[in-house]
Amino acid sequence: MGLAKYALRRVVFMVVTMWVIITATFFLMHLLPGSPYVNLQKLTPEQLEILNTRYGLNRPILEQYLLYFANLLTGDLGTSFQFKNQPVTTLLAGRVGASVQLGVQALLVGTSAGIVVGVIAAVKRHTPVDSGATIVAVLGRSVPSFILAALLQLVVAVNLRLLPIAGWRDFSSTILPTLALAMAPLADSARFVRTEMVEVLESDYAELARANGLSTQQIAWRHGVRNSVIPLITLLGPMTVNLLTGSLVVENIFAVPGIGEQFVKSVLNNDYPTIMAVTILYSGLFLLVTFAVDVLYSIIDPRIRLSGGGRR
Amino acid sequence: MKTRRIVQIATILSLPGLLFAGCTTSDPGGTVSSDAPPATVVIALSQELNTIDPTAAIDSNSSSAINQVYEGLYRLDANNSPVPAGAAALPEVSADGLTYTISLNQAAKWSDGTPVKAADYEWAWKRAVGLDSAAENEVYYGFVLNASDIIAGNKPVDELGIKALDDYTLEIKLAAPTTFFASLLASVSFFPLNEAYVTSQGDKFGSDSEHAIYNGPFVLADYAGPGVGTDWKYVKNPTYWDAASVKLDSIEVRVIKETSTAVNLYTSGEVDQVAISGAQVQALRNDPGFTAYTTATAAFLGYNFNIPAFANVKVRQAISLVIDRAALVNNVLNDGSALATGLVPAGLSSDQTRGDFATAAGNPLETDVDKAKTLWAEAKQELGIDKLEIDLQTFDSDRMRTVTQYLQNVIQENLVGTTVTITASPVANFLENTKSGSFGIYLVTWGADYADASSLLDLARSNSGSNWGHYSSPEFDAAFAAAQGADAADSAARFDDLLQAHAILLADQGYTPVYFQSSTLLRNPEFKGVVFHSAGSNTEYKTAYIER
Repeated sequence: MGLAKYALRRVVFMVVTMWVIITATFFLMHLLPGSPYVNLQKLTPEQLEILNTRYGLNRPILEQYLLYFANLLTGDLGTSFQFKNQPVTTLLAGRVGASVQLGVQALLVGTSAGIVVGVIAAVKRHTPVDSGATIVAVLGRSVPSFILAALLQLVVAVNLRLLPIAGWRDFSSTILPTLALAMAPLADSARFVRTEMVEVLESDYAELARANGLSTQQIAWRHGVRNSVIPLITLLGPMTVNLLTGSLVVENIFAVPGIGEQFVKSVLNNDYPTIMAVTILYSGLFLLVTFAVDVLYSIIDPRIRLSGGGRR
Repeated sequence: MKTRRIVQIATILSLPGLLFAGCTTSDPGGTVSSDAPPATVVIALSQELNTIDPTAAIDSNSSSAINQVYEGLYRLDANNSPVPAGAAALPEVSADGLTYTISLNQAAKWSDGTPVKAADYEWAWKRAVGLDSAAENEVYYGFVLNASDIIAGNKPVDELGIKALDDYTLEIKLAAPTTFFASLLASVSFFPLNEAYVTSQGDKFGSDSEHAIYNGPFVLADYAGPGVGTDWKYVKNPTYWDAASVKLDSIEVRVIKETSTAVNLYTSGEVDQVAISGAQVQALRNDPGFTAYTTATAAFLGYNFNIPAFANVKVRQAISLVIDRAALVNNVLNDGSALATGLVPAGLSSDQTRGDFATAAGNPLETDVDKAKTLWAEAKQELGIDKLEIDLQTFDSDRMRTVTQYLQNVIQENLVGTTVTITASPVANFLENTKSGSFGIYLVTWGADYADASSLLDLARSNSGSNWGHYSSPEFDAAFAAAQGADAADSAARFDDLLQAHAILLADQGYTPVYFQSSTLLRNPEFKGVVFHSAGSNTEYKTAYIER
């Protein structure tokens, strides 16, 4: 199957998936108790009735769904209840940038450092260097990012005064949140690369290369890295999504004007249009990243056959 | 084959490049210069602003911000008394207390230089009651003639009780006499808007700091919009009529949600004011910058009067008597919360001759475990029970959990046979349960909407929409109705009525007050002159200054 045909097939699947997600979220969301009004506690039943009428929230749920969908197709995602008069597209557009930048920086730093650590650990396997790398990986995976964030803030920013405490103003203010978030992908990719690399170094072709006079280092960097990094691309999808969605606490600690907290808050406040928009954004990102990873994978590794529903 | 290989390598090499695309960082050269103008302060807020449209604001965070950059007919002084601002003097009130005639301050200007006219008030109010969200602010607009009917869609907007008699005279008609209406006019809901400007902006009005004109002590700058802006400034407004009283050149605001981060910024001298709470208060209450204000928010227990045990006054009195309110705020909470003396916190409302409402009401709430045990024993006999399971509900927060656990302890320990089950749910679930009557007792915090005792006492009115447990006392209703009706235009008689209603409520324990909430913060000791109001737009910087 050609790449174009494969891509088209995947796009159709993505659209269907998106529709299922939107529909399920819409109906589940309306099962939440409460209403989207800021001072719900103080509203009388009469006032609630007036507001629901004004905002069309007492119409049959199916009618609301169809209306939402019709608006969605024209690109209108509605207006936030919490942030008065603010179209949710503006709301998200204004906040997604910082989250994406932070996520991408953390992913790049984390995976690049992870590859280096993984390769070194594999080359020096069963030595103290390898154990050290394992400790880094275990710590990176088990210490929650917010603990690391608070620690980095206290030591690097408050005590040593090397970097800003919080904010999102220039590049220097992005360093600490990036580091705090980069530990998890660093740990994941280091463990992954080490395993793959050990396999490569113990393979027959590595043996042949060694017989041809190449040193372990040369084999590792020339032949090993590529072969062990390709499978890492599989991990990129889930890692990216984790970083984009999981940065909530780190964003709060470093006062990053990202999207993280908005989502949680919109659920707690029953801010329906925002809940929907954030869900669409995140699931759209997830689908796109998975799609991109699959396509990249097939381009990079010619052995991957583009068939069926994609690689398994 | 060879080209394919090149493509593969190029793809691997370009991977980081692709990921980097579109994520340029902001200008790294944009560092803040250290020789900033002297009269500047930086304050940290824990939340973004919901809106900067005065007529759409509901929460106190947005109202406070709006109050720095807009101005209504009056401002409240430190004692919550109205002082003329957009008005030239206090209102002339008709004998029946229903018609207010107000001359405007002719020096008041919009930031584009045009004068603030009576028509700006009339237009803004009529726009406000026509908004989809109007019912959320009915608590304010409801005082104006026909507003409630307009909000409910039963009357046209034109019939709202406000009229510009000429450019600088405003006539307001009320739905009922309201002695504190002048101080209500300091609420952002009653602020003016410039019709020509707002209509010219359409949907863009208030979408960021550039799409608005202001008439307050400061103007808003560098604000990206509701929910989007996380840094902004209040810059001294040169066209403000009282600009001579404004001492700060600018106030920089940063949204910092994590309190520990905000405290780090404060201790390192980067911000001059941060709000703190809970454990941070315990750790920082000896800091020279520690400041605590009593807010107009009371925490209290509400009872389900459809359950026979809670309809029994002795049960409610016994519960109130086992609560050691001083120990609760000083030892259990220890976070700056204040001792509850009733339902109305000190500093909320006062009478010219009688002084503060809370002071006049005294503190009838006592702790007496022996008396409680006697009452409980009698109640058990009257009810024919020897056990009582209490379903105590609250919303999910650290403080609410601490308080309900304390209550569980003292009730179970002293009132033999009681079992208290605590349910702390998310706010929406909590409200669903309480409003539908599925609870035994609830613990809630309730803030006054305006500076009058009636704002809180209204909870106990038999047919109040907020009386979730259906407490009903003819005596309370009579006293409260007198305050809102027969004595509404006579502030001294009204004050007495409300005091009487409050006393009836406490004797009855229709609600059981538990503590008063405080606003606790760290403020640079050199940053002075900030005025705090316990209700509505909390913090005013008009007269704030830096002492060197």
